[in-house]
Amino acid sequence: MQEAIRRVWIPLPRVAGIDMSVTNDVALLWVAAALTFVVLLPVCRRRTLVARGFYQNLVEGLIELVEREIVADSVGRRGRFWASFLLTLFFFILFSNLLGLVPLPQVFESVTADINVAAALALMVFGVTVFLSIRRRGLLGFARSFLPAGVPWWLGFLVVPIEIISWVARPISLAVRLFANMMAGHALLFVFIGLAMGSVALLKPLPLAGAIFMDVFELFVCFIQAFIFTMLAGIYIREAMEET
Amino acid sequence: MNLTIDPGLVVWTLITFAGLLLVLSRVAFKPLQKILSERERLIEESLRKAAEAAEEVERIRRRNEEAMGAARAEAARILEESRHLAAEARQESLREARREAEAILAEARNEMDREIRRGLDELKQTVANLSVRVAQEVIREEMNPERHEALVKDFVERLKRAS
Repeated sequence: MQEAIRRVWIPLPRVAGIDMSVTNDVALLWVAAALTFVVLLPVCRRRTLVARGFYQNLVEGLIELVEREIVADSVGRRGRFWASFLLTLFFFILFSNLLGLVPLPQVFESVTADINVAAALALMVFGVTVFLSIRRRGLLGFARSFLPAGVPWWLGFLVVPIEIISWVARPISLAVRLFANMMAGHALLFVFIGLAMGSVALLKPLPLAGAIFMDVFELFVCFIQAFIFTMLAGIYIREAMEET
Repeated sequence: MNLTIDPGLVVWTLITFAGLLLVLSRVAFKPLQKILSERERLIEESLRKAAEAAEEVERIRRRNEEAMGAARAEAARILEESRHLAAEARQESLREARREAEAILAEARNEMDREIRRGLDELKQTVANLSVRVAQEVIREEMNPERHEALVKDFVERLKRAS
């Protein structure tokens, strides 16, 4: 598996020891963000009471899907900001995933197939849930939540590490799930394309058909992974808001 | 696909997402929430209006049924009254006709009686005349001087005895 080449486009000075130069990956992040903005803005600002046209229906359908299946069950009407957070998360991950389907592998790739991006998003969700939990219960209450009510104190040495592991496993599972799925799908796609290019003329249609099938399947995976990531984020946020 | 740890990309991801979230929540999601709320309100209002309209339709249907029932009852009453009046009128007409017939009959009877009496009078007169004539004829046939003289004598005799 060939690693993508990281190219520095705009060199910037280090901040707290971190290289903040704008690379091709950062540019792809901006492309994904710009796509999210460009796709959502016209639909969101079109003040029609009834959705008209394929485009508006499609985007509003996706928005309502996230609102109904994730937002309503997690933050509900308690916080419109967190509804915006989940909607932005879904569309940002969706367009980041979809970038990998653009048939220009030297220019476009799924930024979510980069562990740094997947980890950043997962850590952000983790940070949000910790913040909401602490805001809800206070720092001491948050610390106490690692020993659930009803558990004898002397079992703490066993339960507390398990609870900590379960908390820490959340961002790891979120990041790895997204990263691995996007990476595997695209790796398989590249394998089929490589086979199609390398095989004899008579056998070329087979891997090409496999590549086309994988491309369509990847479209589905891009959507599903964005949905799963957002849904889990919604569940974690709901748990953090409901903790007593 | 990249497995190299790049803290700069992590930070840029967070910055990009935060920027996108701030911009979208201000310029996109706020109007969207407004329009979705408006749509929800409109749907609820439409449902409420539909329910009210259904109630109104039901109320009007009941009122119409009541009016129809009242109209049917009124029509039946009028029909019954008309039948009753027609029967009364028929009876009255019959009575009137009977009265007129009786009057005509009585008049006819009177007229008949009058005619009979007149006829009888005429008959009596005719019979009397005929009797006189018959008597005259008989007398003329049976009277001769001797008989005439005997009758005169007899009359004179009876007159004398009477006086």
